[in-house]
Amino acid sequence: MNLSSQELSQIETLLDRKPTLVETYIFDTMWSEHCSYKSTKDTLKEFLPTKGSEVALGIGEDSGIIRFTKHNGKQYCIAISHESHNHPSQILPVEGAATGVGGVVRDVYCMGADVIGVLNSLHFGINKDNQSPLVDEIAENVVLGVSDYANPLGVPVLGGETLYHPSYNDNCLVNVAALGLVDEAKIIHSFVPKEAEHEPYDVILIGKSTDATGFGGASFSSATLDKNDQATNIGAVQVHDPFLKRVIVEALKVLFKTIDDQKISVGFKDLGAGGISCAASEIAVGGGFGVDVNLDHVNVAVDNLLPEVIACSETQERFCLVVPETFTQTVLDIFNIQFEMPKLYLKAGASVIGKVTKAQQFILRHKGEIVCNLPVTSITTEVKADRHATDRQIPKTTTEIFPEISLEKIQEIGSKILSNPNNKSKRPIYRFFDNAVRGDSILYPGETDAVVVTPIEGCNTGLAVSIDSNLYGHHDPYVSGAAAVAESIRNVIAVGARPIAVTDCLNYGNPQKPDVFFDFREGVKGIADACNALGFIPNEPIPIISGNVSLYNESKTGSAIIPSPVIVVVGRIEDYRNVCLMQLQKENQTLILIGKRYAEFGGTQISTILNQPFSVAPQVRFDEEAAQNQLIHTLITQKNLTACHDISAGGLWVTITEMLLGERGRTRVGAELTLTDSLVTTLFSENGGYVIAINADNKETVIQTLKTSDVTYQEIGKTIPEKTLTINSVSIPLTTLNNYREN
Amino acid sequence: MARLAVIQFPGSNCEYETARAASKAGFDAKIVRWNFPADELAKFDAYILPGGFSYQDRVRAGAISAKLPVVGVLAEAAHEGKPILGICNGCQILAEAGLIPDLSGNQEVSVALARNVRDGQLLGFMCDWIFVKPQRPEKSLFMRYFLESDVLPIPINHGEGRFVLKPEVNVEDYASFVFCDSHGVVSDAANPNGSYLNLAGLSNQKGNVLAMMPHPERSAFSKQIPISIDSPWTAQKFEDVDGPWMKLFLAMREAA
Repeated sequence: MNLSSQELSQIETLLDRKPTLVETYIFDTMWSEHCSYKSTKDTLKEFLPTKGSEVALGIGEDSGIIRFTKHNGKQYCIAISHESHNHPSQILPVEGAATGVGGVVRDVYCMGADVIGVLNSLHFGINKDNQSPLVDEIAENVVLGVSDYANPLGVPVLGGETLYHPSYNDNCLVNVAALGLVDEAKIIHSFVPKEAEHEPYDVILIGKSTDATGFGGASFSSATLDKNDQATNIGAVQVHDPFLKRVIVEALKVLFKTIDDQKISVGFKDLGAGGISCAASEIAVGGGFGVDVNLDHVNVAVDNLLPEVIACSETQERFCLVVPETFTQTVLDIFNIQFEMPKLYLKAGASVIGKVTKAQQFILRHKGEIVCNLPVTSITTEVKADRHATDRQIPKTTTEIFPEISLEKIQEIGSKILSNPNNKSKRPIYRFFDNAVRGDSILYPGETDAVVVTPIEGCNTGLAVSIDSNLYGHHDPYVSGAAAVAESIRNVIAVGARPIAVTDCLNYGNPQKPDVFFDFREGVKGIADACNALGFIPNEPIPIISGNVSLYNESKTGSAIIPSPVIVVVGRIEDYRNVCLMQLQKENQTLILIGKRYAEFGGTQISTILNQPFSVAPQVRFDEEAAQNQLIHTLITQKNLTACHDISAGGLWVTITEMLLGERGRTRVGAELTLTDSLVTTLFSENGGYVIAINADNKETVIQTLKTSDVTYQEIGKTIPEKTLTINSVSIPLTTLNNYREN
Repeated sequence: MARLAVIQFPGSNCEYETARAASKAGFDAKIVRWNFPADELAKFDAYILPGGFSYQDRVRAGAISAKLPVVGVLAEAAHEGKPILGICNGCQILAEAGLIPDLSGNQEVSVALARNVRDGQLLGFMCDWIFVKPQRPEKSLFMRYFLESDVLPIPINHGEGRFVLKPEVNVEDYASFVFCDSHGVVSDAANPNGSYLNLAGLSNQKGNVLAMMPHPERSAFSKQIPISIDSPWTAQKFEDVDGPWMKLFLAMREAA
């Protein structure tokens, strides 16, 4: 358990008595950082913009929901949940990563949505000189874990990113976001409906039979990892069963349809952290009710489980449903008879475990005794931990002058950047993930900056998605947040979509350390400023509709991760047939660089190769970014571009290489660039920007548009039939570039 | 209108897009659960076993589903000459049920789908776009619109898709799909999972049952074709027309 002695005495004051053992476990979960956001809530509220005219459901329930498009009289929305599963993945990578996917999809299913895809952001350590072989093993097994869950569940992995940095050697990061499609009129909420005032409501537990797995999971995820606690920690990791989940999901479709046909009001919530105790109490509290649950009625996988284990274990693949008593039998029949769940897994299925009560009390019974009797207000009591940030000066401007270097040397640097695991082709990873199940994929991972799907049958509206983070956190925690949002937005813009919503997952070290808490606050400010500045609806930010905070990503030896905020942006393109592609397809296209380049190299790809201590991270200049985004969006919408790719890690060099090589190195054309300014800055600066390609026919129109805009641009060259990349006088065969990237 | 049952096994996960592709081809497609009454199921004109991970691939992929009562109905339907298509996990189930190639008509199991292996290395799950070509298409009702010269892009998504055959099975006796490169050359290099003779799909003797590991429902519409593969089909990606595999569903519907 992870409660501090101060918190224990706080509980005694609150209850005016000593808590029972079960109650103590419940507080341990509910007051954990994972569930209570006790260190971070104030900062999040202070800065993050969460409102917008397209938000259907903001932060507060299991997923946030944004309006997507209207089709056949229905308002379709996208529900998003974004979570981390870092600690479990460090201990048991396959199970940890798999249940990371399993948990985040439940958050979306329980809104009445159907999951249409997941995204992952994986941060791994570096096994330098084979000194940390565990790092490679974790990386390999995390990938298997994601694939072990998403593939059988039948949700496509719509992209991801993999970053490598030594600060993740003791703490890998596994962030997963799930996206679901839901008709706004059919959103299901995670609280007891008001109808329970007038008619009796049952509490039904659905899914896998309860066992002891994941006991103490939330509390363990809110602490610093200690190698000596390995055995206890392993028990705190949950075990996945995507097969059972798939069956449950199919049964849920039947349930949702029945609920809709019969106009039944229900409350529905997934079981995650804290298991039955959290789900049952939160579903009651949210509606202003109480619940009376008999733990003896819970289907258990093994006999003689202790009451605190039944109440708090985090057994996977379970949901909690509250329905009118008169509807209960229908629910039980769907799961137990129509879908034969008890025949598919020992004691799986649906069972009534309690009743909703008007008395606002949370009661758990076990073998004739009351083992928990808490006023629901005590559970929802705001718990706060005062954290302090120590300000430190972060350099924002630089006078560092970069010595110009020869073209030959630049070629050598370029080859090293492409061969760096951070920039290499990620095909060896994503080939483990099904990216086409559901049959809706249009632009596949690796083909463009964002993946595009058409999730609504018979509707051409495309959903563009991207997940992003960066390695600037060590240099500038503010920039790491702002740049992640800016990059993710660019990725969605580059395919022709308009960004509509943002989610965040904030990964940091121990918030009790003032330096770390400063990093955290700076990251949140950076995210907030970017969302506020880069909106597409006049006077509105791009709203943040869902998020998660993961703290204590450090080991007892004191090695903490660099600040690592991870961002998801989703966008809408009215017709998928108007998407803009990344790969250069035809010769004699004019190539134009959009966005000014600055000599800011802190945390960039070139800095790791030159091993020079640059201090200033690539700044995000919101006015420049916003103008570029609007311009690119307009040019694509007017069909003026033949290709577009954003500039981020590795700079123009990586951007142009990817535009030539495409997803799998099947090249169509080469390119000839004439660069006049500082080669190093032009090629390797990572400030936001784009490269666009235009046909001769459109050149005049586009140049005219550029001239009248506020955007800095530069014609850098053209595509050529020879399969080479020529920069000024040096030519590199594309096959050579591809070898750097693939081998 | 020909009635098609897309059978949802516990753990199937491609039933919706499969039904969608079949509907486009003119089927009255219905998704039915594995425990659907046998006499009702027998009334359908055609059947598809969709992809997925039925019963968690316990024992071997498809092994448990092949023992379900519903497979008895399918065996009867196969005997009557109704079209039956198994895709991915459905392919594995048909193999485990002995419905392909069904040498002597007594459902002897003579094909297995083993784990993907190349050069002695286990490959695990593979998600990729590959090419296949039909062989002896005249021997299968599903392939009536295909030519031996066709090179068809299609995705694979499986961990156990390597055809292993008993020695007495002579592939030449059946229609099949084989892995090839983008130019239609059948070679070891174009074999993604180590499958025997590059097999990607295999018909039964009568030509009314087809088991294939790649996913035709994910290559049935032009918009599903990835822009980055080496195929003339990419030129039609944004034209909102049928993809290369719609003809398979069309042929199936016409035969039903």
